[in-house]
Amino acid sequence: MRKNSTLGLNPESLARLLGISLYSDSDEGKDNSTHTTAQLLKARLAGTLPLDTTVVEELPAILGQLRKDLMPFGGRTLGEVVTDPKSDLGVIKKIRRHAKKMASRKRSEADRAVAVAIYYAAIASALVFHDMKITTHSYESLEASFAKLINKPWMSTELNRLFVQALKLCQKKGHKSKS
Amino acid sequence: MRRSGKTSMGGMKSGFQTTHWSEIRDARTHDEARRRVVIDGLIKRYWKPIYCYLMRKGYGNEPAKDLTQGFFHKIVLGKDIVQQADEARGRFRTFLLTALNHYITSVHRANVAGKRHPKYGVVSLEEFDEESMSLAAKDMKPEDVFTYVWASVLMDDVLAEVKEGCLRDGKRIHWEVFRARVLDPIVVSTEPITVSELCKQFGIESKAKVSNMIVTVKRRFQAAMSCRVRQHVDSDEEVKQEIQDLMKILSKSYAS
Repeated sequence: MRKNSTLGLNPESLARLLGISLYSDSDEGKDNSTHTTAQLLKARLAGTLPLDTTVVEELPAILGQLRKDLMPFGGRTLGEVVTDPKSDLGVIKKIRRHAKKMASRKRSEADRAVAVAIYYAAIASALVFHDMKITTHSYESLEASFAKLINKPWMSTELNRLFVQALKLCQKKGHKSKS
Repeated sequence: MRRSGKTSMGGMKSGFQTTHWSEIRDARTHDEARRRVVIDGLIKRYWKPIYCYLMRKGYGNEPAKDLTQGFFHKIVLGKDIVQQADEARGRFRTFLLTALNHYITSVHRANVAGKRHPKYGVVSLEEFDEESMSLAAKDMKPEDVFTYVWASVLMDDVLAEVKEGCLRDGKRIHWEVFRARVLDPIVVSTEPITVSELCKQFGIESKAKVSNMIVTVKRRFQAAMSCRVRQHVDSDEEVKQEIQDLMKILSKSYAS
């Protein structure tokens, strides 16, 4: 980046700078990294599905019907896909895998927190909209994880809503499996 | 295909301060001096995204410069864009890119690339070093590069305006606090300085005051951004949508 210019910043950072104009004043005065994480999550959710890495590369092997199934999701934002009941379960699983990879990379705390949120958002999406558990985590463990994520100061409204729904489902399922 | 190159296009400073539909319509005036001012303003504000878009399309430095100048002189300075602006609605960013693509097609059809001789001579375009663009941006599609550079110029102007405003109004510490807490963590990828540290560093008596200072500058930032984006869209309601769309395109570019 040149001095006094944002030209040269990576595009995501530029998106986060733009995001400053969309955040409310209430973000201020919060914990140190809160608004950084909130900005990053917002930028990630606003991003369209990273088709190159999570979907397209796998198409030659899968072919056929799945390709047709995936095409309508191209260009939709990540936030839209994980919160849409009609989203394809295959896409949701790929988002989960991608987020898991993102979380395991050594990056900032904010990056990791956002990746974890997206990872659980994909799991919550599969649970809530497809009644499918796409992870080996138990319902109890998921319940605890969703509870931790809910009402995080940096959490977006749409994910928060999704986590609340998923938490309730886990509570039900957990009770069922015990009885 | 040449990827690098410096040019001195654009005059002293680029920006997006006042360009919008009405200004383009102003270009229809018969007052030559006024017309020239309007066109110069347009060139200063919009040459960078256009030039970078052309470079990403595969044009070398000189052809990209040539096409950029040709576009402004033949299309913007000519009647075409004024007529189109009369009919057009929507985002100025999209409108400009569409007009540019039409121009490129017409140039190819006429096979006159490299033979443009602007009526007003070659405009001076500010020095621009494509190397300064990030590696990530270099891998983008041409349309996304256009948006990236567009957003970057917009951001530079907003930040400069906010900083100047703060300094002018005796709020230098406000600006420094905002920079340390909000800008630097994004721009230089540092962890934000804690509010307590900021209190110590700038001798501010309370954390609440630091938060208020940040909110003050953030409001200025929001106002400056809204004002500039408003000039490129049809209504107040579209301002937020335009910002979100820019974020969406930039985030997509990063993800892929």
